[in-house]
Amino acid sequence: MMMTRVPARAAASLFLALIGGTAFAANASDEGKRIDGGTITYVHEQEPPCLWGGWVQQAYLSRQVFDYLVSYDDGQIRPWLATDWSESADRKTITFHLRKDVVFTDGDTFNADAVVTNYPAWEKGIGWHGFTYMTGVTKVDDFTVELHLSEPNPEIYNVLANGHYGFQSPKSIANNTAEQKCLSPVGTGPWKVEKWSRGSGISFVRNDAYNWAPPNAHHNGPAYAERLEWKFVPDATTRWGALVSGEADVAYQPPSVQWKAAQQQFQTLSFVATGRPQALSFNVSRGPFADQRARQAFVYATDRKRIVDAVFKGAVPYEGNGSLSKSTPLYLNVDDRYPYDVAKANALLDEAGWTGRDAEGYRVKDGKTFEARLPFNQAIIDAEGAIALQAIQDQVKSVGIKVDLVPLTQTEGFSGAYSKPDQKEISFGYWVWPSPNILDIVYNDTLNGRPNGNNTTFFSNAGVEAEIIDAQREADPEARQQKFDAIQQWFTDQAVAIGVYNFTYNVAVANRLKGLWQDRGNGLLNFYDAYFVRG
Amino acid sequence: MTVSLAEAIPIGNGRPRRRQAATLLQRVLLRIGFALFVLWGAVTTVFLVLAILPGDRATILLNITSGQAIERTPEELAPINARYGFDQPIAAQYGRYVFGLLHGDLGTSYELQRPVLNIIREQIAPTFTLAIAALALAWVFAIPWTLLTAGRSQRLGSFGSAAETVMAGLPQYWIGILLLVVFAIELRWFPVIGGTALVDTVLPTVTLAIPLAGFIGQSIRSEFDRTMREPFVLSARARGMSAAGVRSRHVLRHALIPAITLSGWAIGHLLSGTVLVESVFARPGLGSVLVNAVSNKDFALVAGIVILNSFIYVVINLIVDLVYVVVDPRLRGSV
Repeated sequence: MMMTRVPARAAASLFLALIGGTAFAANASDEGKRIDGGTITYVHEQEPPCLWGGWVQQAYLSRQVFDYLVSYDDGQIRPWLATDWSESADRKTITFHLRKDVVFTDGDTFNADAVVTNYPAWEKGIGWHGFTYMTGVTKVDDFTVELHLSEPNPEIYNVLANGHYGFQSPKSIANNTAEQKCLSPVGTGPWKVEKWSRGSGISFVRNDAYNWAPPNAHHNGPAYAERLEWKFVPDATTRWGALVSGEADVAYQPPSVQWKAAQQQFQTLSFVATGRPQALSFNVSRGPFADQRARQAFVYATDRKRIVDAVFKGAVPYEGNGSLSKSTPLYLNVDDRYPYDVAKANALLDEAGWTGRDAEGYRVKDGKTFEARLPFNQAIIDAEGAIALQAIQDQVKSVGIKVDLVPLTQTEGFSGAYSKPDQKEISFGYWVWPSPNILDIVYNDTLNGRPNGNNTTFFSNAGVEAEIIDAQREADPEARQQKFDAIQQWFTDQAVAIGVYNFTYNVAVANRLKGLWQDRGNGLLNFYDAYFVRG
Repeated sequence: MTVSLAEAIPIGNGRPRRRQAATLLQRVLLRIGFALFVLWGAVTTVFLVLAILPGDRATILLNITSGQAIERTPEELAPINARYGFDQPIAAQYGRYVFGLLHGDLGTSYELQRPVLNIIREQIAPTFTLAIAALALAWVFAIPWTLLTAGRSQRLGSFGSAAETVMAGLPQYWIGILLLVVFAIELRWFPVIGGTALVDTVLPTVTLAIPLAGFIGQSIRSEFDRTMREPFVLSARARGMSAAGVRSRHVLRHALIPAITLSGWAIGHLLSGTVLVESVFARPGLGSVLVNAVSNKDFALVAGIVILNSFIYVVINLIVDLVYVVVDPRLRGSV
């Protein structure tokens, strides 16, 4: 979850993303040609430090070795390790009844104690755990647990299914070294780690005892393939080459220039990440963008749709909403709210008092040039994203706004450089998150009584914050949708944050491999159902 | 035959030999002392640089594990700082690290959650194999090329030199991608995804060897051209030795010295500078581990790799010194 360091390099199939249908590569006739066994080779880009943790790169991996309480099935929540569940009247306590036949790969039993033992590991290992409103787990009986929340959270199930909240065997939590827990955590999932060769890949072997797949999987019992070789191949050309030459069966993010070829020659899967898209977040606390007219003028002056089409060649979707991305629950489409309109931008700037001009032609007010610093982390915004930013910089220049792009190295970015309100006027970035409660995370000015670092707009409005929490607490689904619609519309009208493009996760799959599917909650690849076919 | 200094100085009875042994021991001790000094200097420099570089380690650690890039509160940072000892004064952290080092403990990588020694042990073999193979192949390219083109006609010399300059100037990434596309993806002679087997090592080796051969060739060439004008060349020819014999037996020997010096440097460079090649061929190795560790300010891991590299560098340079003696008999007397 959260921002990934993966460059959104390749294209997304907008069609697949929008229909949101279960994207998997198989049809009935393939079933008959199925070969049992075999080794699936997947070439992925980034190698995280540990197999499990709070980073989405880790969820991709832990999904293979862990199982989860519930499963996200394209909008629906399905049972998995929990057979059924019920909510208390205040919706802050959820009682889960657990399966009784699940065992870890080290022989340990999955039960209420296992859930309770894993909770502290979640708290410690998942950096953003507090934003889920979970406060603890208690045991009711051997196979019943209660999950406690500080706020009602209808999307808590999406969170529990997102790949991070898996279960490690209590025995391994108690006895294994930190190194073992990092490299080969013990789960109940369809695969187990055989060996992690750092810099090269992870070898997974099938868990032959597996018999508790979620109902949205295509089969139950052990995985079809016998082994899964998860290779780390940082270079996109190499990944594509491995697929074309037949060495790999599945390739992550092929180079964007090859995406059309990938769609023609291979099967492709595509996922638009939930949460916030790649969006411009204006600093509303100080500087020129404290004025709504200046923010709107900036947005009118940029032809974002055309920029995205030109840079990503019609492949990565344009996103107008700066608060939620297309695949997030309760998303509101505001793509047409700010058409490209230079005259309107100029009028708004005149109205806001930016009437003077300096020697370079930039607008001036009270002797100060309209200048906006836009730092961006190169570990989060890739080369194509940077080109989009340059195009924006160039377009706003025509209405007299000066944008200073400040590229940050990974070290600078992750050490929190340029994160204070007096250091920047615009932030740019995205955040993978399965729930509209992200608005509470990013527009709340305080977190546990301190300035909230996630609030990159430095927005502070107790009234609006109360509305967000009210929407989050709304029990009636229809009323909740309306409330979140109104909030998204308000943030768009105010131009506090404005979307540019969506973060996507694409893979190309060899034609001999069928049945691979991508979870619609977090884009996680499910190799469990994948099988080779004859011919 | 040329008369070398070594042959001119008689090595006779016991006394000078004993004195020679004593000098040799002295030199070896001096070298070891110097090597230790280099290692200490490397560790200290790495420590200081990583301490001074902007970026709070606890913040980076927290942000990387949650995928965020934000400022952290003191409450969030305190447990991390306490756990890894970042809250202690720099001098204390340094003292603790050096103390551990003296006890053979390279520390634990805080990002990878593993002992540094285990990580290095895993990555050293592929890196070392690649570096040595690339250096050897570069020599295999450079020597015949120089013998064929240097010290002959002006035109041939210019052509040889130009080819070397172009080779030396080729970016590794570009060569790598080109070799990959042609030999692995199109012709399928080699695997695309690299491992550490021999067949996986061929393309990365060639990628690294091509620019290196350019450098080595250039340095052999200039010395070769100079040596060709030495009087002994003429006298050897006058004694009836063939031109090819003079070139390969006498002139080449002289010309090798600068290239050998360059090889010592190249090994150091190859051990840590292979990150692009590792990335293109998806090959494990110390290069990418080091680059990652530096961006995450993972001190123990950076220092561990630097110590290892300095150690190998010192050893290689010792070997280079010995090779000088083998190649140039004039130096033998001074050992």
